Amino acid sequence: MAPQDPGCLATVSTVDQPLVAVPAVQKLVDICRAMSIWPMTFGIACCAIEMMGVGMARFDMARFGFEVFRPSPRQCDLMIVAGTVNKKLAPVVKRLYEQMPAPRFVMALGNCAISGGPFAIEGQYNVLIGVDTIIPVDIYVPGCPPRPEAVLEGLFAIQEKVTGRRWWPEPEVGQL
Amino acid sequence: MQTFDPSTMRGDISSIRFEPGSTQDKMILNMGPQHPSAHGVLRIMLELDGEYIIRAEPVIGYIHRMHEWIAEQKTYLQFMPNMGRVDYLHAMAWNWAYAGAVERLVGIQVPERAEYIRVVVTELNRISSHLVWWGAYLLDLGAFTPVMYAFDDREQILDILQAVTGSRLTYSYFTIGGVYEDVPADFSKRCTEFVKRLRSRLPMYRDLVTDNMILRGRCEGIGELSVDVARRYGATGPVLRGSGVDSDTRKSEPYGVYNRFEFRIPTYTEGDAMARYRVRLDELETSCDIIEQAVSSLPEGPVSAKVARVFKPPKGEASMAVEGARGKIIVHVRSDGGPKPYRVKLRAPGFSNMSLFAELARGTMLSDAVSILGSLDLVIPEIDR
Amino acid sequence: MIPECLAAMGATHVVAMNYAATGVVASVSLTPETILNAVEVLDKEGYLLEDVSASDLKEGFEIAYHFSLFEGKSRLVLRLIVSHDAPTVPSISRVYPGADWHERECFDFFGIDFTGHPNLHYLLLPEDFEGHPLVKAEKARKGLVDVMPQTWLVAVGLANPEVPKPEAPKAEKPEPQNAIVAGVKE
Repeated sequence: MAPQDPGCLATVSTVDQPLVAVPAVQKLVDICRAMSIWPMTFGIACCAIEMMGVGMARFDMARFGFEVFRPSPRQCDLMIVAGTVNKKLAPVVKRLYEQMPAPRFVMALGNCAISGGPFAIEGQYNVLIGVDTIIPVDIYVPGCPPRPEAVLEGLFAIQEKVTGRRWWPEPEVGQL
Repeated sequence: MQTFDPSTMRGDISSIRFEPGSTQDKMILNMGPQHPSAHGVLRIMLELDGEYIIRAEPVIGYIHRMHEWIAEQKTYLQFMPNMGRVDYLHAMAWNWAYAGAVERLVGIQVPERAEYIRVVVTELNRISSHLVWWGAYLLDLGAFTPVMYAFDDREQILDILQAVTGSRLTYSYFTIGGVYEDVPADFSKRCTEFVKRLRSRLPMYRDLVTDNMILRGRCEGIGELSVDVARRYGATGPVLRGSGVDSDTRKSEPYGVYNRFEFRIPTYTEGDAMARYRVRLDELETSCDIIEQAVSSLPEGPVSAKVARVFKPPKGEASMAVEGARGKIIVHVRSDGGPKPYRVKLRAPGFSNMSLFAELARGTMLSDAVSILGSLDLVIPEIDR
Repeated sequence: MIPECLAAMGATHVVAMNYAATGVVASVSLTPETILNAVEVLDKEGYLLEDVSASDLKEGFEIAYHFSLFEGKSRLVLRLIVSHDAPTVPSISRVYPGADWHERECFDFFGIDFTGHPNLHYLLLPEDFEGHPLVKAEKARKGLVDVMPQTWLVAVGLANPEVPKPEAPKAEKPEPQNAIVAGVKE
């Protein structure tokens, strides 16, 4: 990707070592953490409605542990960037990311958060070509907007990233 | 016009401009752009005297996605998907406004079947938009259950529209001269079943939610809007109809085949948040009526008019006004005879409705301001375009 | 079907437009000196302000104000042109407070200066943004004769009614008169 000026510096993130570094305990802690990730309510645009839809009765991400949506970034593990980030919003996204305590994860939901989406036209003046120009992203979920099932797969991938394995059955191809 | 020197700024420019008032006891509170109400990225700077709002200033632009600039870079048909993203909750209405403006410019006659299909999908989309509004408004006020029911009903609509258009949310189903593809064979049956199901749920919503004492206390008498203020701010849609003005673009400037259907325009005179709430809930029934009538008399025929492969409308300008879920949507298209538009202006109803907020919120309590904001039914990407 | 109130506006031209083709009932051409009076006339008649928009033409920035009544097909467009070098026009936000934000948006995109506006700074664009995005490059600008319908041009005297093609200073695009229903889309 070509270098570009998002209007603010990218964030530099450090994670301290845990006080007690016993692998079995860490593994258990990681599983507990993965099974109760607290997302942050940061819906920006159209993908936010699909994110809300995943939280609702039909798709229900609460059954996978993502029950608690906290508005304050200081109480969250996961920031779901759902929508287009533009130059005015970039410092806000960066500040929210910096306010999240580590370990923290970021999901870029939708084409706009991944790479500017339908707004990445040559000569455009306001949209960031992907939110990963300012914050590190863990999982990319493509789609415009992605189906709720795709969002769920993205959440499972975060859990896989935290624990090292996928916990939920893979759907069969072609199954509705 | 004022200029600012960034090196002397203490915060961002909006905070600098919002200077505190004269007395010492006021507090400046910044709401947003990230806050739990699911409106989108809206920032409101408030000057509070205890719990009462002295001044409110909205700051927008956090989701400005350059739609009008993009219109000049793309051809007429390439711009249609953008219209689905301006207001993603009522994407069909924006599709219609843009397609209708271009069709007026060129003088295309849309086939009858396409007109009926347009009406049905737009009304289904209006119902799903009002359900999202209803659920989100109650979520703002602190009720967590109705949004679950609203989204459940909405999923039924999304199933129907997905079978028709292929997408769940950001539709670009319309094309210049009709709709993109014909509806599947079971479309009429599914619509009628859905309408029946929704009608059976509405009494429950009325008993549990609309007649709820807490909701009444939070909405009645809040944010009273007079007709004169609404007119001079350009408020349209349920915001205007909640203040007693019986004005709906589907009746005042009929487009498509709306003049063939019998439907009531709900209007309430109190002008407060409860009136606007009731208008939108009654509009669910109006949309059900329209869908039933349209689906039962769906004619046969083609679904789009033939249009030149390299589409170049003659020079001129045209405007099309459409009744969206939030108010009057107008798209002005200006053509210079080339394949790309010269200028497209998108008039979003939320833009005018939002500019009312500063005046309505003055003197109210902070929690009432949240209720007023919800009752205006704002979708910020539509405001910022 | 032109409303009578338009006669009291001191307009340069009042042109009846074809609603079915353009969506407006009448187009009123004004100047920055007469716009405030015209808007006050409409306010007394009970018109609702729909929007204030601008467009970049060779002659200057054209600002268009759209008004309509609550009922019926009644949309009016008031238009005026300000020069590129000194784009100044009085703000109508004193009469129609809703114009406050619309005018700020025109300032965002074109740099038009609305005198008397209480709060003219960037609304949609970031505060440190440089420039005004929708201003076109000099060679991409078209004139009124290239973008207005023929009937309007004839009514305001910019085109000759006998000659079907307008004698534009630069008319490099051929007139696509038959773009309506042509060809077969495969």
